[in-house]
Amino acid sequence: MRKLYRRLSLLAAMLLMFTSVILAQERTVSGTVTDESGQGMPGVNVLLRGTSTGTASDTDGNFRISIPNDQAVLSFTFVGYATAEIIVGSKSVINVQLTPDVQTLTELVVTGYQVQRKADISGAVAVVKASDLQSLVASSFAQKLAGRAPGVTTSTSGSPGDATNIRIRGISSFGNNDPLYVIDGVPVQDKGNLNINPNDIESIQVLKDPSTASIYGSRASNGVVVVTTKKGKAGQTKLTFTGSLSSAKSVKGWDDILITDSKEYIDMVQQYHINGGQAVPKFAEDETLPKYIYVKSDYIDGTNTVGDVIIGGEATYDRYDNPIMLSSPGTNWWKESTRTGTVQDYYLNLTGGNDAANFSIGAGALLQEGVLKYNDFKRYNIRANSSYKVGQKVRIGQTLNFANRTIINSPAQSEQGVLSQIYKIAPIIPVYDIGASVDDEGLEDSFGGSKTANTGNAANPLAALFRGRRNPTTTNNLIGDLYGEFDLVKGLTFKSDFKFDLTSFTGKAFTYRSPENQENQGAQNFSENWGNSSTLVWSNTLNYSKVLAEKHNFNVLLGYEALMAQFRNITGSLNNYFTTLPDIWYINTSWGDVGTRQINSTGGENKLLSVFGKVDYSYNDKYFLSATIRRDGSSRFSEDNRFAVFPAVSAAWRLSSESFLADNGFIDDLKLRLSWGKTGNENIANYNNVDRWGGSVGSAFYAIDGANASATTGYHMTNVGSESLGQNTKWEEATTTNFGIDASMMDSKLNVVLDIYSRKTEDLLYNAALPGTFGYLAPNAPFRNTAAMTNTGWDLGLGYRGQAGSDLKFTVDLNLSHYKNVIDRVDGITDFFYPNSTQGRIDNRLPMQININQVGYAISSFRGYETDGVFDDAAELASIDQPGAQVGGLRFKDQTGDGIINDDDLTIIGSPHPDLTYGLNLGLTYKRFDFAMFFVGSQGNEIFNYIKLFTHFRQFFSNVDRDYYLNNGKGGVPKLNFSDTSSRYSSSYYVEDGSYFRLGQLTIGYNVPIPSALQNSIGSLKVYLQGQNLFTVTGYSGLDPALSNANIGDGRNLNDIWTGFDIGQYPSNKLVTFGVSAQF
Amino acid sequence: MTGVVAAMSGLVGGCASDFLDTPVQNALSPDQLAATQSGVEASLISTYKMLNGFTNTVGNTWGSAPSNYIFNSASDDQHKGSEPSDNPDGYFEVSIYQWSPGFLVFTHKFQAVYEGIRRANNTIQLANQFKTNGGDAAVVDRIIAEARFLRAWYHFEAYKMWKNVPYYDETDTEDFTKPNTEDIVPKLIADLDFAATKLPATKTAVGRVDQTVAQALLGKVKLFDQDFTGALAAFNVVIGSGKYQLATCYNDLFTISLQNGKESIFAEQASVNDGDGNATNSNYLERLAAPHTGSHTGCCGFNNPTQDLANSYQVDGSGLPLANWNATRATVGAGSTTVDPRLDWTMGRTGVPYLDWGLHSDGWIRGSGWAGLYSPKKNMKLVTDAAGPGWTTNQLSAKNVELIRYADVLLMAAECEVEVGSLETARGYVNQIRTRAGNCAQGPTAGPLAVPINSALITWGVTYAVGTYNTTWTDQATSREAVRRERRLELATEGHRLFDLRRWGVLETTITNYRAYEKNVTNMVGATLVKIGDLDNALPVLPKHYVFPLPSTEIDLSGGNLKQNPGF
Repeated sequence: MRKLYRRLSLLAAMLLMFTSVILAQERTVSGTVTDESGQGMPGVNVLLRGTSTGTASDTDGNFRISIPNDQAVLSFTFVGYATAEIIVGSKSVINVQLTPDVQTLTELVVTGYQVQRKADISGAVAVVKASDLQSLVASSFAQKLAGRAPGVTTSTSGSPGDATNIRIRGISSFGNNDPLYVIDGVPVQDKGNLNINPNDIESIQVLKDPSTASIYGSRASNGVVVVTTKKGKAGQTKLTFTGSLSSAKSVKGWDDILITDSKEYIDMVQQYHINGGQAVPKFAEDETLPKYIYVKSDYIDGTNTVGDVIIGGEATYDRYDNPIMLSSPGTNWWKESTRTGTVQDYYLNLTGGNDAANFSIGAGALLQEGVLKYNDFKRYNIRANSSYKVGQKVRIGQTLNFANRTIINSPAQSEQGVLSQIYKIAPIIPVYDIGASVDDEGLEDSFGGSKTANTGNAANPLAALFRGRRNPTTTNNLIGDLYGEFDLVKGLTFKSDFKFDLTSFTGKAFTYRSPENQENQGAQNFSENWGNSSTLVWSNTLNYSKVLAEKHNFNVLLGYEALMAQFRNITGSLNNYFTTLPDIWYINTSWGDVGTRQINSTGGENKLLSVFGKVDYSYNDKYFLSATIRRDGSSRFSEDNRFAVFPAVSAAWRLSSESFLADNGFIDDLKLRLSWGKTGNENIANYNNVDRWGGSVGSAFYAIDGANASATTGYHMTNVGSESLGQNTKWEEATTTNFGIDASMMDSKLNVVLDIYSRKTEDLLYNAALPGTFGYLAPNAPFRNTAAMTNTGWDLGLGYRGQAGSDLKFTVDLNLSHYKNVIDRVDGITDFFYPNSTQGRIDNRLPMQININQVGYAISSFRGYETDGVFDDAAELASIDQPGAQVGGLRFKDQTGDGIINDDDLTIIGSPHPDLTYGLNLGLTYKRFDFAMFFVGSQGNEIFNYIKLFTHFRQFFSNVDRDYYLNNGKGGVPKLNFSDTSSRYSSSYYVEDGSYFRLGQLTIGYNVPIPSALQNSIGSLKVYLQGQNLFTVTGYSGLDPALSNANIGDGRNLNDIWTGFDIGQYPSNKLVTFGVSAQF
Repeated sequence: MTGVVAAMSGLVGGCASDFLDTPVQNALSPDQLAATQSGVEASLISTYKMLNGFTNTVGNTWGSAPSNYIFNSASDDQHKGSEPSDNPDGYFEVSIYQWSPGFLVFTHKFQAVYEGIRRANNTIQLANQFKTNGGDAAVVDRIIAEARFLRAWYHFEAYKMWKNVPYYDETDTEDFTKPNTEDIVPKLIADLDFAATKLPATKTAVGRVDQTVAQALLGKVKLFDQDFTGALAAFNVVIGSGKYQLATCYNDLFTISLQNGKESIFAEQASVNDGDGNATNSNYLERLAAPHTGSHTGCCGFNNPTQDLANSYQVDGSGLPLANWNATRATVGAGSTTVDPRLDWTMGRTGVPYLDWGLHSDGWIRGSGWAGLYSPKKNMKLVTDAAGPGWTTNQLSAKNVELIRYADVLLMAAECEVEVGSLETARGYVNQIRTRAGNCAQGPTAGPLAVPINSALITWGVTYAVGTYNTTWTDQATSREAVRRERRLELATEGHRLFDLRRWGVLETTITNYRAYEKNVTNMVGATLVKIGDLDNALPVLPKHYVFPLPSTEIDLSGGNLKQNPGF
């Protein structure tokens, strides 16, 4: 024991001695890093070469670092600038001016299974840097991409936690048009993209053409969005905090459009009846408002809808039998149902490491209140990324992201949703009735409603929101990977990467009674669902790079990959709960009627198996060639059609490296690119090719024994397989040709990226409705190879970086995209098909299919009658046989000229596809201030304003557009007319120009000077004020021309056919944000 | 995880394809079903299931309701009801003859009947496969006979609607775009002849069919085909079998606890609280015919019976129907007219008990009397009957829909007897019906549901009488008229009327006369005089209206193989 102590003491003494020797030589150097204009550059990495010692420059560009001796070399790195390396020598002050990396040759892009210099890429890739998007408040990175990259469009609503559709170069499939998302190498099929905290993201690459995307082969035909999260960097441990607080309102409210005054409403209702030759509902004898708008008919004095007296008095009040409503002088239902929402976003990131190991840990919380009351979204994230060097030849790393997110009371964006109740419910109805009725928890529930004739069938929207306030859907998600990389021989690396994406979700919903509504919910029901899904991927790659004679660069990649995805979920419900107390919201037969209990589970599995290879060659940075091939097998196809091969080739020529362009003084970099390749799509239902039998009690059972409370088991064909219909379905394939130019001019001040492409998709997969002779299963048709279509278009990005004086710098970035979509061929016996009715039929009252996919037209064009003014008089009305038409109503064009308006006169009346979409970014920095402005817009797209069925033609006695009410019957505006059943039909009256121009973002930031006393603890501090969607210029009459198609339909991915359909989507939010970001 | 590892080792081992084999989850294959009798039987059960018109794939397909009330609203029995703009899928336009081939009600009916046909054909395919697998030949014959009966039933539904429809059997597996140019009646007769031979002599369960049911349908098909002799032969088998009798009280047919009684030949069997949380096996698609706010259902308020129908139940001093029934209005209270008691089993009239739900009130009517002031009644459960979870209480129940009942067969037989000249036999049948009609009337709210028609318990001012035809029938035209009149009164709102008017060739005159009266009817709604308004924009009835237009989407999807009915 003593011996050991003595030895340790000796060791300690030696260590102490050794340290003091080092200390003797160590000294500090300091200096300033400036950019090309001499302005101090904050955040430049200053690293002592060969060590893990490093620092970063402060907000003024100043740095201070300890060096061991005069031989030390300092390396200064910053994205977009050439790295500078300085030998310290005897200097104690080192000032460095960094120069922009002219060709951004060092910018790295993650493409597929490798990282490439952007300069070497011969395909079409758009890179979005996280720093450009950082301050923007949004629940998903997808939302932030709007207008940021040429050829990339997004669609989302203002609903908190709503999904976002990203479309790359328009729509190319009838089915799934989602790009493949690859998060740190993990392929993710989550159109919401809500699991990743946008703050965690380092950069986003959008692979637009097959030469870059086809390495992902299957599922890449809609492009690939590669997301890279923040990784640790060698250097000082850094802690970053960002936080923001926003207040959100809708860009426009229904109260900007509808009648909100009861007297106007009454006048409108009377006009509607008078014009229709119908008995006019009386509201009050003296033309004032009646006192009551609903009392039980037996008590009524006057009419059965309104009155001034209740026989028996207000004491007859009974919540369920006789709610008594005082008429409202004008309920503003929009105002009652909405609020100014608060959005809080907090994020902490810790990063650091040395040459051998590094880490990055992020944690965030997003707490978002919806503009609709009682509608919330919450998300908590933790991310941990690290990588390690083991010896000289082995590298190991991992990424791991956990997200817990909850959406409460997310409204259905359809006719039945809360938002739609707002335009349906009459302003004369009060928010509450006279009672002080409480529910089982003692909370007021004496809502007013439409429980009277002639006030429509709307539900009280506030009541619906209130009662849904505890109906959450919670998702837990874990995405990550673990990889090992081994250098086998020089230039040859083997990488094995195991990736996973695990999700579990739960949801529950309690349905309250709603006695105030015309069609009232009578029972208290509860439903719950649980589910989980997993995607596991194992990929193994070999990468070989070799440079010959310093001019010939070779890179060869070979890999194989297996993917297995599974899901399983269970849903249950029980009806007739005896109380509303939330503590018994469980499916337990004690609480409801046992005969109503329903529990079902389901599941499925699909797999992919792939082999791929890629060869890149470049000569002297002038000529680039690349070839990719991938063979994919998918379990979703039968054995014969399981495998498909996706090749791609591309070439590029850097003209600026040629002698004839050398030293021209104008062009810094000029590259021409040409690529061709194929990609695939297998995103169809599992087990698509075979007949599946089963069925539920409701669809197949039958009480053959005459029992009243039980049914005998039945089975029916729930899904018909494609093979039964004579087709062995195979992969959908897209062939794309892309020509591109990258140019950088005027000392890199002006940058241009232009891509022109044509994408032809063959064997399009779609489950087009079968003939009705196939029965009810017609809409459950299998996916079959149905058609061909072509997308042609161009994407243009223009950027200018300029300077005025020494303090003012500015950037202008404009991106423009155009595509044209044409259906070339439809297989089978018709030259068109309708969207599958379970997905495409918007309305079951407009008596026709409103969408059509027809040869020669764009996907999902609008179909209806062409309007031809209004019928001015009875003679005109008599001149044509238009069933249901009235004088003052819309006149339809007789396309066939046979004097009859019927289905033969239907024609294509519009297209939701824009001629041009664009984004314009303006950036400006002046001393400590920065300023950013971002515009986004769309030109030439049309919107089918389906809501006019209600707000103009009073479907279900709904409320009416005030402008329409004031102008009806004048100047060609159709008359409000009870008896006009014809005007409501799908016609060009519903089709409006959907072009818009929107100030997406306006930000003013200030870099707060750090007092020198605090400079050791605070690296930088920035505060900013931001507005989003502050104004919109549009001619569209609805709430918001930036319509979402992401959360509509049956929940499947297949909702592009809803593009341009306004069915009452949640409008975009107008946000005002105060934010802070600090680095320690 | 283990799967991926297995995949990788599989890849190395060269059997990559095995990895991609994923067995179908949560579903059975036809081969698995055809392996056992119970699998084939279950397919047959699901074929019966389509009698209620519903599967849960596309929501509320009102047009496929088994009673055809949507289409019957084009007759003089019913208004569309509710409010003018509350118009699911073209229902209102059907009632006012603004028929567009684009209306979804047509598609719904089309898809529902062809779903039934496909299920029947699938069942036959499975049964044949089961036989090949060594299944019992007698069982297979019986299953195929039931399936062929149902196939004929569904085709006949299509035939009633459109007349020109394609016929599909079990050999049609890939092509579903057959033309509709062929007369399908011979094929229906072949199916029913087979069923009438191979089915069991008596039902093995109340919901199933037997030889007698097959004869009843066979007779009906032949009647629609104007083959009165053939039809009569079939009806006589049914009548002669002695299996069926008229129920004691008219309303027994529409009382859940008495369903499947001696009068019910073939009914859609409904159930609630049977494990389906949406109660889709209930009278699900019939529920629009539940009364509105203020009533016990607070529901939908569609399907209001007409004033013309109410009036037609008025009787003369002998208890026989009035020749000119619209000369007076059927009323309730002091000085009310004398009516056939079936009136108050057929519709809810204000002041009269609505089954055991209390007195009917004008407030139950939606839309301020725009479509009259009567509520449909035959679809409604009693207070004590179990309810299913609809969006309003009491709208759903295990209420069956009577598809063929004995009174229907007697009246069809009577029609045939009139046509072949046996007028007295016809009179006998009609008198059976009328005698039964006189047995019971609606009872008081808190008393028995049914009481004798002269009961002192009837205190709400209604006089009931129904008499029989006691003089010999000698004139064919008069007899024909009496039988047809009786058919209307007996089967009102049960979905027969429109198809009967068409079959008799009297659609134009009947509807034109009805409208001339009905559209001018006014009612006091509270203090306001309201005119029935729904017929104001009705289009004239033309010869083309003897069939409905085929759904235009179906014509499109058939690539033009389906030909639209003339005039649409």
